[in-house]
Amino acid sequence: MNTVLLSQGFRLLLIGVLQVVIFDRLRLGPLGPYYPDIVVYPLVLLWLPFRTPRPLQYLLAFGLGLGLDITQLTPGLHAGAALTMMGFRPLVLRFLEPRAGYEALHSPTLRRFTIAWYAPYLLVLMLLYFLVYYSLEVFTPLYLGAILGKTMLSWSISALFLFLVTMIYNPLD
Amino acid sequence: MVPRSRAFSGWINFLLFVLLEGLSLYLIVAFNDSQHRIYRHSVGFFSEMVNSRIETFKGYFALEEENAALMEENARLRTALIQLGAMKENDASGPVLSSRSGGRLKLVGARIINQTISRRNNFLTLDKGRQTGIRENQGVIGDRGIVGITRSVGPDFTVVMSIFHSQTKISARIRDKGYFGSLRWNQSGDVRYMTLEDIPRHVPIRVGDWVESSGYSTLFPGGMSLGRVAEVRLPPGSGTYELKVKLFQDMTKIGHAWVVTTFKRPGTDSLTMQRDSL
Repeated sequence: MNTVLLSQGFRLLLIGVLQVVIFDRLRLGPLGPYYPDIVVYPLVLLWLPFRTPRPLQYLLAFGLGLGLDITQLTPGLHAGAALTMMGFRPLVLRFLEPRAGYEALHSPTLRRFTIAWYAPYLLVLMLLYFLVYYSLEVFTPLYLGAILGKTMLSWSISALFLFLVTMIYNPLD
Repeated sequence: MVPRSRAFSGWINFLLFVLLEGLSLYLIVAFNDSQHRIYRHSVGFFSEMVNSRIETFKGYFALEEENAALMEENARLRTALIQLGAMKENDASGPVLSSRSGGRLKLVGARIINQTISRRNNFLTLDKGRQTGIRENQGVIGDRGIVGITRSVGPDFTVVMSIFHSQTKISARIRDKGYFGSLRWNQSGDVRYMTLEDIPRHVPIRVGDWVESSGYSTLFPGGMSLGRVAEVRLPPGSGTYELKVKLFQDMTKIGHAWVVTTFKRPGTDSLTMQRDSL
């Protein structure tokens, strides 16, 4: 039990620092309305074990998102996006549920599953994340085109880094 | 163990989710500049919409008041218009009115609450009476012509003898020609037309000539447009025309009228006194 907490906490710290120190400063492409935001920290949330209590998942998502928000001076944006993503995690898990079901002690990681399971899990929830994030950033349905454009751009480029971090870190649970 | 993976299982979880979402939304609006402005704008837009709805709704209740105010204003404007016309007329034809001051005129606006047009002698009822200064034998005009003459005045109501009354006779003239006659209703039942009589046969009259009030009466100011000549008839053996006049005022859909409560042309009083003493 303690090892789980320790490893999760360590993961949280490491990826959080990675996000703030490296990925937030990584500028790909010209500055302007359309530069990709590279977001990898939701991996911490997505890798949470299946048995993690729902309220804890929500609080973690909110807190982690808010932590990033504070460094970016965008209170509420990442928090709302991460929370929404975690709210829909059970739904996506149900769609991807293997015939044998999930092991409560396991986590939805690449090592526990195949890439054919892991990729849609990661991509669908991250798409939702970016969609919510940019909706909250633009904050008006008038610029739906901008919301969708930014979402697709950041989503596709972040996906590369999400898989990269997954492959490097590659935790079992 | 196979946990049921349901989104938002348990309402406590759902409540927490909604609460946190609300908190993040609050944070976004409270601490992010552009989102805050968009929020303010949207809220402003929404409240504006609600307010305008409420105003519209309240407007229906204020309509009565509004109407009264508008009618009053209309009466004032109409007075000014007629006075202006009278002043111009004085300039043009000096002898008709000896003074250039135009005379005094005051109108009282009223709603027509009852009207008959299908009888031989027709009457109207106005919703204003003695309290507003209306007296017997005063002229009543509509927005496009003459309506009638007040007959009996109560404290709050006035009965008006319509122009469609066998005894009503309005002094009228042909505009720009000056020949005058009397306009009466020939009781044919057609309220679109009246007949202008007593214009001598030597006067060249054409269909389409304008007919206006002559001003030779103490009831109506002169120069008010009444209608156009629609048909020129010269009965055999008669020295005067019988002109069919199409009225501008459609009496079948008139809603408001103005009573000429004070109308004094300069010198009228003394002239009337002279006439009365004769």
